[in-house]
Amino acid sequence: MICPECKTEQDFADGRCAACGAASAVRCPKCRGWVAKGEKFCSACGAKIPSRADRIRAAHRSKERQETQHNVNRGRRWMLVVAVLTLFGGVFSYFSGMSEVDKQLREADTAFSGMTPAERDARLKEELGMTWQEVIDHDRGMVTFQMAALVGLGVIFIGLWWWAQTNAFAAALIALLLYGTVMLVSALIDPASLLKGIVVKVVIMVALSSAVSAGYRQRSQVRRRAA
Amino acid sequence: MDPAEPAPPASPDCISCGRPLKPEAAFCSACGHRRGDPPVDRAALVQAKVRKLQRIESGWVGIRSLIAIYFCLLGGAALTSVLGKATDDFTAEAAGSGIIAFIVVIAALRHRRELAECSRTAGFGWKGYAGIVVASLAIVFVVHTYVHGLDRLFKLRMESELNPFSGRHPAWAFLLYAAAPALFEELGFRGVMFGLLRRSLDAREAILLSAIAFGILHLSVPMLITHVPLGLYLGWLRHRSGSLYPSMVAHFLHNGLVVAGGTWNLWPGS
Repeated sequence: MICPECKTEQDFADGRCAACGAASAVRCPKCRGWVAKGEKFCSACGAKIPSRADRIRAAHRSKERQETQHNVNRGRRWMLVVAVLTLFGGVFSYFSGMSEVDKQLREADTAFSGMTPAERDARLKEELGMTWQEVIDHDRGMVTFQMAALVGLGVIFIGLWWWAQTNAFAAALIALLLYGTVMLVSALIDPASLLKGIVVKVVIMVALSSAVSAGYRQRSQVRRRAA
Repeated sequence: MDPAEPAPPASPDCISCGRPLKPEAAFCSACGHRRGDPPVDRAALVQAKVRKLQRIESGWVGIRSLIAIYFCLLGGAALTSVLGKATDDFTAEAAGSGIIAFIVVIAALRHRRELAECSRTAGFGWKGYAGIVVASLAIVFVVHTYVHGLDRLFKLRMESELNPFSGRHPAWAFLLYAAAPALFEELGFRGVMFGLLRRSLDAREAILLSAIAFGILHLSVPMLITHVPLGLYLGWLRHRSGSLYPSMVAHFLHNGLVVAGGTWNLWPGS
């Protein structure tokens, strides 16, 4: 190999030229042979020899990847927060809803106290299209259904949190769209609910948006490396 | 070639970058080209890399557009729901269809490049379309069974989502519940959104994400169980055929059969 310092054909025992002693060779990262400094590729195996600029760029990219991974992990934690809040919301809504329904049924029962069951059913059928037993089943069914819907949503968010390990972008995008939709639906059912915990809702929307961005950045970094 | 003939001498210069090659080198130390390989078109390689990086950038722009379109459609669905409480079903549904159509048409004009290819071809032959017709019957039967099962499980006495408008000709129900969604939802979800997702995602992910967006935009948690698989099926049709029309036909048949079932009590348990 020709020493880039003294320009003579020399042996490189430990990366130093046997004639001038200059540290003018580096190890090939692939075949571990000696390559003269300044050469871009190993002439024995064709591997790329990283230059100083390459090493700085690689360190910078590695830092970028770490930051992105950190942001992706933060996004995943927010998905878990949404899942836990939704599950708790489901359980809470069940117990508070059931006690509210029982209270309303007791009040209705008092209002109908002078009537026979047949008269009561006839009047309810006229007003609501349901018998007394159907009203009870319907109201309790609605509460159970709401609880089941919220628990189902909580389970979906847990699934997204899990999926974000392997596909952070897709999971975060679905979480963002789903959360925004759920907020809107609950506002349509009860407009006053929109303002309840508005700060937390806005924080979650922002966190999920940045999770989408972090997920996409992570995906782009992988693709850029491949390119 | 005569085996006795000596091999031609190895080229002294790299045929890819033109730098001198060392006699014992198997690779050029300047460009990494293997001795003896045909020359590499470096300009084409650089162009391919630039194109790939441009695709990554345009992919992110596509995702942002998709989120914007989704939330516009969500606003439209919310407005329809508010109108439904303030007016009668027919007015709300007609206004809602108008709003969704307006948003989708604006999005389609803005992203017409995503629609150029899939709107030019029929996708399937007659056998494919016949398969869609048969599949629609099976799908509607499963959906109907699920909705009635849910109704009975929670004793909700839910009214069917696609009941005919009272006092109006059934053609209105077919127009607003079957034709309009088949046209505009397909243009929106399987046309624009699928195209925007495909800029940066592979087909499987694009089908899944457009199906989930389609499912959750119907604003009903129990309907997620039916609409996400339906969206997967419609997305698969779009991908498999490379055309928008098979998914439009499948969507029209599905909604049309549900409307027909509600109008003429065709389904068991109606």
